[in-house]
Amino acid sequence: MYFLFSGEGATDLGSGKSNAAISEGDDYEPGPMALLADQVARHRRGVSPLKEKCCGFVSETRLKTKAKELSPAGKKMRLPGVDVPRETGYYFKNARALASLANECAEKQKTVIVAVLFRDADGAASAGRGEWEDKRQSMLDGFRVENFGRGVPMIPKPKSEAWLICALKDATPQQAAKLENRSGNDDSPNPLKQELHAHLKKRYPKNPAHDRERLNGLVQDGTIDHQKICMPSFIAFCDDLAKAISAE
Amino acid sequence: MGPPPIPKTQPPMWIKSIKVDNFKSLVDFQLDLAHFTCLIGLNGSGKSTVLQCLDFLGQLMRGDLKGWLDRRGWETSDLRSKLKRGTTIDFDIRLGLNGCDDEIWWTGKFDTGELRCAEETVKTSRETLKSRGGDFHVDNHDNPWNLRVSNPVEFTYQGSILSQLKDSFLGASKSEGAKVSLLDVKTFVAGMRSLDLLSPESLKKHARKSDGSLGLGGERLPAFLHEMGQGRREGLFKRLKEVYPQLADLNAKALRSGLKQLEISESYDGKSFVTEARHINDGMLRLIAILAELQGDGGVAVFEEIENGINPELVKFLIDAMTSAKRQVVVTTHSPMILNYLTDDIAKAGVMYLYKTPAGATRAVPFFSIPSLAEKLEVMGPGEAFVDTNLTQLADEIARMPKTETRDDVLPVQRRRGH
Repeated sequence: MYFLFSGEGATDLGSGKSNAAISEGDDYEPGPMALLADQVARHRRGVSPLKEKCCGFVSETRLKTKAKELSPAGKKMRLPGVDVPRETGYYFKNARALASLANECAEKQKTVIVAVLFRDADGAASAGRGEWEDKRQSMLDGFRVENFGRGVPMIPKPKSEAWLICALKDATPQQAAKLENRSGNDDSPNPLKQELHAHLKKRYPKNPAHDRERLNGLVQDGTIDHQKICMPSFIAFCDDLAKAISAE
Repeated sequence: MGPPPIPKTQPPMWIKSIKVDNFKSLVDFQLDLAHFTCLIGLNGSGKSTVLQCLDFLGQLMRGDLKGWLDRRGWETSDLRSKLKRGTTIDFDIRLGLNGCDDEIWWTGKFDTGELRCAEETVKTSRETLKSRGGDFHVDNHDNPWNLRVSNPVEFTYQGSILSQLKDSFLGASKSEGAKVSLLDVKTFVAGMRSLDLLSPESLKKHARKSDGSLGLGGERLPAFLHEMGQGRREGLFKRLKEVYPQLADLNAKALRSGLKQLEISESYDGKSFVTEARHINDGMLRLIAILAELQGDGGVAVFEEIENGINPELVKFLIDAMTSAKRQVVVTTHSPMILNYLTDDIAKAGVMYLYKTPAGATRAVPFFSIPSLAEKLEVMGPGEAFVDTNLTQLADEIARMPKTETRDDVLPVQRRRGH
């Protein structure tokens, strides 16, 4: 079994050191969301993609190129309708592209691929519009259109900072539910990014930076643990990941 | 296979931007135009108003504002905005020239009571014309001693003073090197007509003369085709045949009465028959009108809801015709399919999103400069990104966008006075 990760940046699923389409081994620098995914995979299914080095990271450039290849000018438009809500196309297209790359990878490596696609629910491409459930469903639709059965949407609601905050403050389910209803907009009153910064400032008054290394350290030392994130959007991810690993 | 290069052809002259204040919902409004510009937006956002404004600006150079208002069934008061006080419509048009960086512009204040420009300035490569308070003068940039003065203006006119000045006074056309004369600017702007009322009923009419235009609703199409000359008509026929292979001939027949009648000849299974305009399908008539206009000599070709009557198989053909035209083209559309046939580069440069401020003024923003749309365009086609976006909620994101530098501090815009 091989895992493909694709995210938005260093502080979620990580990044590749080089410009390679798929970074593996030491070329792949996993981020805190990859570490959390690894925790969940170990806990639920006893596999560790990171320790076993059976994973690769798909660059955003490669994913975008693939997505564009799947949308030739003027053709194969995905139109909104009764079953296709608006503001979901970005999730659908990225999922299709990752699924297509995963299928190519499976063919080449002659192994089973699990693909994890990370996108904030309230990121730049939606700017506060659309529903989390529709976006998750659109990712699943995108995987399905490419006949790929082991695709895993990793969509924090509203964004990854909320999951991290939930773990850092060991939130109750009620507090977790409230976190999910916050705005993902950094210009909103009391933005999540600022709140995460405040949490880290308490621990590291001199340098509260929330960069990849800092957040990875917090996951590795158990401060941020997958079992402390009781948010529905995270639980959905955990269930989808477990299902994908053990799928027939 | 990569996208086709842009632009396929460069129009010799084009409008880079327009700034208008106090024309219907266009209050302190600015729009940058590409060689191919596609206006999109919700109903009531001001797309048609922009087209009407382009037609209005063209009419200022043609004169006869009264006739223009009558043809549209408008009163003078319909021109002004209900959002502010003031009786003048201020405008500022920046023009671009192929192969030349000269600053060419036309600014003015149109007095809606007098139906003429109370003030205006036209700056070209060679000279600057200024008109104000019954005076006008022209400064020749190459020869500052060559100052032509006329004071006062001894004639009445509507629109721009250029509409009534003889072509010989406005200088030779740009045959003298690359320099643009006042006549070139006048000819270019006067050729800007909007076909925002193009209708099948009008297109089916007979016409006596075209006066160089299709008419507001396309009613002069037969005469326009008759007058365009054999060569151009054949060019138009060849293009049409690409999508209507059964087409055997396109003719603008002169009737005894002097009227011209459009008819086509089609060949099916070796048998030919002629169909006159009133029986030609609406989509084909519209396509003939659009292609004819694109082949014209005027300034900017302007079409409303370009997708009307065009079946999906023709969309690519239509987009190719518009993006490769030797004229600047401005259209409005609601069609994601039209947008999806644009290359990303053309879409980024030319798709403008129109919306209204809470006060009711129309604003324009390049659609794919909106962060969420730029992100979507990375993974989907322009039309898909458009149709995937909830436009009714887009205003919030636009409001959060950093304000771009306005031109007021970099260009000598005619500032509003008195209101």
